[in-house]
Amino acid sequence: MIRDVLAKTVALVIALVVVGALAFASPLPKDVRVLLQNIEVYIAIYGIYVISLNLEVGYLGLPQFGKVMFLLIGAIAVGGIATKLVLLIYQNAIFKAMGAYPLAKISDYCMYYQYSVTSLVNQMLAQNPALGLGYFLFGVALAMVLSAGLGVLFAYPAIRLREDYLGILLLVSGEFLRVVTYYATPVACGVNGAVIPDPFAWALGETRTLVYFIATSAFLIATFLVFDAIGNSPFGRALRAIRDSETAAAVFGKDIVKFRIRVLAFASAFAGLAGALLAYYFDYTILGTYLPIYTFIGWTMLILGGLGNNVGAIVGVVVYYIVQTLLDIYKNSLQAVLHADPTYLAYAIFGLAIILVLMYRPQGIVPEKPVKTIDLNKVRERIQRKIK
Amino acid sequence: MFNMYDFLNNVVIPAIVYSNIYALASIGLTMTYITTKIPSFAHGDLAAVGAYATFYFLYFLFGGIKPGSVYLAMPIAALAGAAVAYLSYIGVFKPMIRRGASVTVLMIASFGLHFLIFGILAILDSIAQTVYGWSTRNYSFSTGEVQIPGLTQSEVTAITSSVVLLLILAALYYLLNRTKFGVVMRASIDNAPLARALGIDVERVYAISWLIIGAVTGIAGIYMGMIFPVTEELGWLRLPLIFVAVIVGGLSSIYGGVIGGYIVGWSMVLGFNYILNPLNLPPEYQLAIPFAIVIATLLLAPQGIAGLIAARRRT
Repeated sequence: MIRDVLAKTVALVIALVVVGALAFASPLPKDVRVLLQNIEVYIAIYGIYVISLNLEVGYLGLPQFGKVMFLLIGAIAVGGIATKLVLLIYQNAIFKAMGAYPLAKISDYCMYYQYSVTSLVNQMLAQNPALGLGYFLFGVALAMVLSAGLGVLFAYPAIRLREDYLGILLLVSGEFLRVVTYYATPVACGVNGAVIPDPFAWALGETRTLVYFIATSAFLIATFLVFDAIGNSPFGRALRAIRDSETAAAVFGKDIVKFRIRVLAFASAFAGLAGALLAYYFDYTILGTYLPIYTFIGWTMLILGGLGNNVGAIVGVVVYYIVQTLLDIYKNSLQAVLHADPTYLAYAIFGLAIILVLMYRPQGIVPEKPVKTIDLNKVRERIQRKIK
Repeated sequence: MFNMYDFLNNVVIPAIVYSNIYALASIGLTMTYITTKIPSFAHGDLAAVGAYATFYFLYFLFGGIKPGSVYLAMPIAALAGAAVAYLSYIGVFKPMIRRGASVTVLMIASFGLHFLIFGILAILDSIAQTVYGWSTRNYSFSTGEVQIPGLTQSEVTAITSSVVLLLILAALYYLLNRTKFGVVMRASIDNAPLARALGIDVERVYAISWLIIGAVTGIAGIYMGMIFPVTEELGWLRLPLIFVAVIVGGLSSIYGGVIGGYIVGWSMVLGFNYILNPLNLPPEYQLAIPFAIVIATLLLAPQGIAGLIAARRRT
């Protein structure tokens, strides 16, 4: 089991190094490289997001239609809490330069001098990379903890509700949380959106993208390793048993409630991580944009790639971005032919793709593989020894 | 000081209009759920299809939206909605249900359908915009409402939408309870295997119900277009609230859906006037009120209002 998971992880590392080298240190034209760099960071972040969705949907069969909630929590942890902490640390310096404490009157800060304060903070963070790193890790950890907590909250209704009701509850809760946090200015500057200080302010231009690429790739590799190890463990096998027949799993003594709590906590934590990374990379967040559509984009990636398989999850993200980017590149010529914005064509294509995949290839591009637990391998070895 | 005129204009009229819109949209979604068991994410798009069919019909015929003309286009909206709903059942849901797809898979398929319908609508109106020069986005049907001297447009809409809702409910009641097809349909809903054993073509019954679903939702699209700006997202943006109405109503009876629609409409308007305004909270929070209601419903009484009434009858 370990060998198998490690082999896949090493393959992922090699793939990331190759595409990284292609984007950052290759003789390709500059605009192509910039395009690649951006896509790679997005693929790494969405890879984490979709892998965590896969544990809930592909392994446990939970109708997680509120996934975007945890991206939102990540954004709140970074743009709402970690940012304020940095402002608090630098408040005296800010007071000297601007004549006001940023947190004294939050609505004024949000409306009038966010941008100037943040550029000041960025200058100071550039002098202090260690603090920047601490601020980055704090935001990420906070996002994970808060998301895990919220995930556990949803385990309670998950026990009682049928799958369709649960799916709608998750969807509606996501919208509820979005509306409430968006219009509450103290959370993350509400409708103005929160400007987020850059933890890697010392890195400029292409170096900044490289730093983010390395950071997000490292998190993606860690996520893949952890989730694939879980998926191939007896725990993962129990999850699939629950997915295929809850009653049968309960008869065999599996405590379904406990499994749901653990999965929701764990998967939500990593979705929160993806949300935090997204917020840092954008260095700006506006909570009103966390619409249910991002839940469904995650589902689209997962369905295309293949449910119940972490390799499939990453493949799905890559395929999605390839199609998206191709449409972007041929945007102008498509516009001339279609008389319409090609983004709409992307919607129609992905919609049709989801329907066709569900109808003709429900296993996706990379089908689910049998679980390779230690026990199974040991059993096989024993059988082979006996045959000899 | 309680002002009757203000109360009527700020509370009663908007509440009735909102409620009727969500009630009309809920009828279709409840029927989708009780026949084919799909909480469809493409439901809102049927309303957008109705709205755009109306728009194209009126522009091709009259070159614009004239007072009272939307009622001329109402059959067209119903036909277009019915056609799209029928095609989505025959083309997507029927084959998947035959293969025994789970509710979650059907929900995802309905979501794919949403993307598809949304994309096609958007491409079509971009084309109409370039070819004919019509402004196909963010228009309103309010100018197409009939004009009655002495009444404002929203007062007229409150009356007409109530009349349309009552007519549709009466027609559905007659269809379900007084015709042979109604008996066949209720039998297929209550116990599909038994109905099949009695020689009823359940899939045909479902296909006809999808026609009804599309027609009613297409008409709902026209009323949505009277108070919300019409874009491809007209129905999709209202979908969470339609789900709220349907779930609070109980997902099991179309009349429950209508009550749910009324709860959503009134709670938003009352909450806005008597909770948010006095407390100086942003008006956008009125969306949060129905969401809070549905979260409470799902946690405390997931069977909804229709379920509660049915349970009381049984005891």
